[in-house]
Amino acid sequence: MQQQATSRNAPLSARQQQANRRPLLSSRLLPYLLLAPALIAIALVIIYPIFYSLYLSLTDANLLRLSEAEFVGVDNYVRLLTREDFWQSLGVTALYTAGTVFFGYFMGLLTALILNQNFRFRGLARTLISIPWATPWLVVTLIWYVMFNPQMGPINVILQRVGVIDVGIPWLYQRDTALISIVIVTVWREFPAATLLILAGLQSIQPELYEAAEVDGASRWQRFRFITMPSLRTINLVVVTLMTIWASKLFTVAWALTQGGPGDATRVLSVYTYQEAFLSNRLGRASALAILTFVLVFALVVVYFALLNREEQEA
Amino acid sequence: MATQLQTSGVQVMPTAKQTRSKFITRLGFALLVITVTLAIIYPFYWMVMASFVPEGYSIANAPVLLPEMFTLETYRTLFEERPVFTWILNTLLIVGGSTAVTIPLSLLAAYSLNRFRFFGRRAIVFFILMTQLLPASALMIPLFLIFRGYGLLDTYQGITIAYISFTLPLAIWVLWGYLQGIPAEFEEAALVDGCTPLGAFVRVTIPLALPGIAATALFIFLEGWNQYLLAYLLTSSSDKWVISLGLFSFIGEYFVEIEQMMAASVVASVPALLLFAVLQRYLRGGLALGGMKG
Repeated sequence: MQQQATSRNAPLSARQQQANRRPLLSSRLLPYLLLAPALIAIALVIIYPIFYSLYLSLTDANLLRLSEAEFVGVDNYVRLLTREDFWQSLGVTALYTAGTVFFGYFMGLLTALILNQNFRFRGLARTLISIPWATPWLVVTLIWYVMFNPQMGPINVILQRVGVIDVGIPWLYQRDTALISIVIVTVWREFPAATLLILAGLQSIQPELYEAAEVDGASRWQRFRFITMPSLRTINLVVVTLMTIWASKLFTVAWALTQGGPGDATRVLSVYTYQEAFLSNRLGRASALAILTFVLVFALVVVYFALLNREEQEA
Repeated sequence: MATQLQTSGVQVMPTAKQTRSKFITRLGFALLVITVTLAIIYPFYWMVMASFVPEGYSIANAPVLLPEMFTLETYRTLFEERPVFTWILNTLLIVGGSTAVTIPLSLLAAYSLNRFRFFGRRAIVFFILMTQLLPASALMIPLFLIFRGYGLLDTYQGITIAYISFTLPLAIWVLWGYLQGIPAEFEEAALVDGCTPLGAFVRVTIPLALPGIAATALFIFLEGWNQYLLAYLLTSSSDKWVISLGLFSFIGEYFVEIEQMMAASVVASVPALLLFAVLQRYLRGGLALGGMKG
């Protein structure tokens, strides 16, 4: 580089002068100009709608009489927070989130530990285990719609043939099992993401650590407890964060499989928002609900990010 | 110290008992692998299997493993009775449209965020990350009302615009990560040779980023193929249904046609699985960077 520059000294300096002058003018504005189209689009399809929603949440807007909406202040928020419906829905969402994160993580860890061993057909096992994650959500929903069928659904048929139950369980249609069913469906679809992330984490642990522990006579469990898990701390946080965000976005499964029911057994916040807005026509209250949901997710993610930051600084 | 010597001594000369316990461990591990894998894949296997049996077979026989019959008839009636091709075409049109808008915008934005240091840059990055946290349920009410006001409900344009609300932040995020992997030296060399910054971007960066752009486009496509809530809310006439709405129409039918349902599911899975296979290489990076979407 240096040599080239000196050998072509004269023409380059002239060119560089020219080049220097232009960026001076443009390089200040250029990044903003490049960003402008994307930011304008985001402003139109995200920011404006969100502010509109914020405004709606302060009115008594009704889907059928939108023009008659009147400003009511924080009335909608007060009503939501003092009503049992909201807390019930929040509780269902919290249970659903905790369930998917816990079991999703557990399945991810289990399969990642398996795939981290050396065995024949490992590639095949890895591909097969990833398939649920590649399956479209609506397909996942349809598959499990059949799986849970009380009469011919394979889950009930297998349980009956093994002799665990006599009569098929209407998984999706009774209070006790509806939420569990939806957790199962979600975990089945999402855990392979955890598997791949945790597997990557496992593979980045230095083998010397295990060798040293083995020399010191550490048992399998001790190696797992004192080497594997501490090394996975950052990855664990990432997995938990992602799965929490995904859980907060759930709508498809809860809506397509149970419509939030039976009763309010699977009425997570997104389904509750949908029902308030488009079945009860209460746009104001539904908007307040949407805003509250976002604030909650945002707060949770901020906490996770803070933990993640601390983790990275310690590392 | 003593135990250490002991264990290393044992390892040199394994006894018969030890070989047997090793064998048992390996057998146990193999059983574990097989059980876990089969349990995970079983629902998917069942879907494929049920799509190849005569209609009505599943309800009558409740098959759990291999069926005794095989036919392609279900696929024929599926395509005859339901406009599957229209669903696919609609999806391609809408996802293709939003991708065509998203890619250029996100590429420019990702380039800007990557190669320039300017006031407000960090805030914008954080802001774009935050937009990914927005659930579709937070956008659905205002989008529905705005679209109703502009006559965009139940139109291809409307759904395409709605899809941009989740493809754009995702694409910026993924491309941002990809561009970080391309050294700026190539562009600097072009600048030294007299290229304008934009010229360097077009002639150097874009060709180098093509694989990443292609991966992003496929990633967006996969997300669009999966999208349900916005399509469900903004579409009313069945001739504009995207694939997810077509699949949803099977649920709640009075007479559940299980075989057709599973055949339609197989049809909808194939493109997604193929794309996934292509993208697998990028998924780890993509997941860490752009994987905020479910």
